[in-house]
Amino acid sequence: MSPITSINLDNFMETERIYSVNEITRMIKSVIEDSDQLRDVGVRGEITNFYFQQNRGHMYFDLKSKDSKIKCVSFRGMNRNFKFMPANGMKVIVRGYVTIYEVRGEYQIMVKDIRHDGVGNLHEEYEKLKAKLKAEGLFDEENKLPIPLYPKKIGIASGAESAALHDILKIINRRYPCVELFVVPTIVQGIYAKASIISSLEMLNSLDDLDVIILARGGGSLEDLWAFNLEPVIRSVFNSRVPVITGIGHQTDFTLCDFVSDRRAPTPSTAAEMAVPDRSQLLKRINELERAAVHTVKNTLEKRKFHLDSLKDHILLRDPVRLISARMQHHDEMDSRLKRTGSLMLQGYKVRLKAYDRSAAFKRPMDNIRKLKGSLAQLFFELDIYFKNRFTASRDMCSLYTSAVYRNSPVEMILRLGERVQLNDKRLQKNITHFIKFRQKMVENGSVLLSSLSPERILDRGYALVLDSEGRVISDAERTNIGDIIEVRLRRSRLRSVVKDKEIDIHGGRDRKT
Amino acid sequence: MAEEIEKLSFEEAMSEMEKTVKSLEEGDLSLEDSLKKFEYGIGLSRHLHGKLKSAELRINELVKESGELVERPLDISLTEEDTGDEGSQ
Repeated sequence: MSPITSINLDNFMETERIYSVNEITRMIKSVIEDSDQLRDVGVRGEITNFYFQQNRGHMYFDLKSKDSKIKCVSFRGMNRNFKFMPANGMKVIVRGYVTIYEVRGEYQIMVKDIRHDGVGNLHEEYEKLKAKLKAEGLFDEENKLPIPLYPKKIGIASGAESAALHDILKIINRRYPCVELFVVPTIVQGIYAKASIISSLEMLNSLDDLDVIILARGGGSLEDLWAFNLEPVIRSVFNSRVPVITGIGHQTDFTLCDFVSDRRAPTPSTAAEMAVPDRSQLLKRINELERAAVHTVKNTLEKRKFHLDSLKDHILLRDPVRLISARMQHHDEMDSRLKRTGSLMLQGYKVRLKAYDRSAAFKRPMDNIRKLKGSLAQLFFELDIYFKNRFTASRDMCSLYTSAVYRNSPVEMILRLGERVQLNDKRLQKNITHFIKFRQKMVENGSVLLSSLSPERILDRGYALVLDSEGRVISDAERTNIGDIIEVRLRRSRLRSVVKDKEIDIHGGRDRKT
Repeated sequence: MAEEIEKLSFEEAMSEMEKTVKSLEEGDLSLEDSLKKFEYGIGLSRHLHGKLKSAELRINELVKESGELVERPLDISLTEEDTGDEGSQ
């Protein structure tokens, strides 16, 4: 290489035509823009320097690969149908054509559509955000608000005139038309979805007394539903003061919004069903309850009536005397038992007295015995009278009670009186026992007295008992003959004697035999 | 009693009704009390029926117009034959 010493302009002018910048740029432009190859290209790269001109809706960014970069532009009319808002760092494939921006002399891709480069990346992003939000506790059950059972005001954020909205309205109208709905037309996909969803939720949250919000969108691709996986949208669902039911996509679609909403429905229609009860079911339940109430009360009344009837027929009300008849019978039994016992005792003593009567060899003891017999009889007579009086008194009381029972037919009264009768009965029984004991004692005393009068005791006092050879008591000399051998029984001794002489009727002096 | 019932929300009236019928069914009420409860339960039933039957769906559209929240009735046909053809279901 030799150093340039001069510029051979003539030579230069001969070889090339000279253009203005404008001309050359236009020439390049026409070459490039007329090229079939460059009219429709797909370019893969990573977004940098992204700029969105909010007012006009134009997007500017660079697409870069390892060591080169290309400018990209997308005007409002083109990016309206973008599935998502591009952002720096996104790996994308853009589709469009190459143009020249004459002002700067730059070539650029006019972007008509944009896609994420491989769903794998989206999934990765989804999982990353999911893990982050989960760690933050946004999915926790305790953060879920309860959905009111019977809402009055329901907010709906869904695409204007979308099938999802129509389904929701239809279902609510059919199931539970007792509510007021507030529909916020919402952009649920594309680059404006994020801002629109957030704004709709804010608007609904600003209403008074809203019971629940349905956030819904029909089915679509992962990219169609992508707005519901954007962090700001997810957070606005989480932060909603009013409980949110999400019904996004189809059965199998799970957006991150579904994890933070208060209830997730698999479809918009299901979301509507979750938001309201079923009026016909409710009416059925109310009717069931009403029937149960009627049935129960009818039953209760019938039971009471039956009870009343059975009381009316109750034996004690029909014949209150029965209540005390058992007691009366008991009294009678006691009475006869006492009488029986008394007469048994009397008989016993009679027997004993007879024995004494028979064995007493002396008139004096006999007199005494007779006297005792008399006083015993007197005692029994008194005993009899005493009991008769007692029983009469009890019977009188019984009949008093009977008439009281008749007067006051309620069973309670009868039972109370019955208790008193029982008490009285107890007292009476006690009295009887006491009396029997007392009388027994008296009879025993009589017995002691009797035994003091027994012949053995009389012998102690110097009397003697004369027996014939067969051991029979000789109470009259007439029964002996002169020469009979007799036994004279003295106190703890006996004499065997021969009758030498007999004298009859010593005191009367009527007869005399010796 | 009727004014008392009128004051109840649907939810309250519903749970009152459930409670009332339950206590009736338990059956340890005096005759007078159970008749009172019965009357109350029937009142609640009428009230609930009324609330459910008289209502008609009201639909409003909520939009923002130059930063202001605007609420207006949304006129939309909801006959069962109507089906949308995009997206949902």
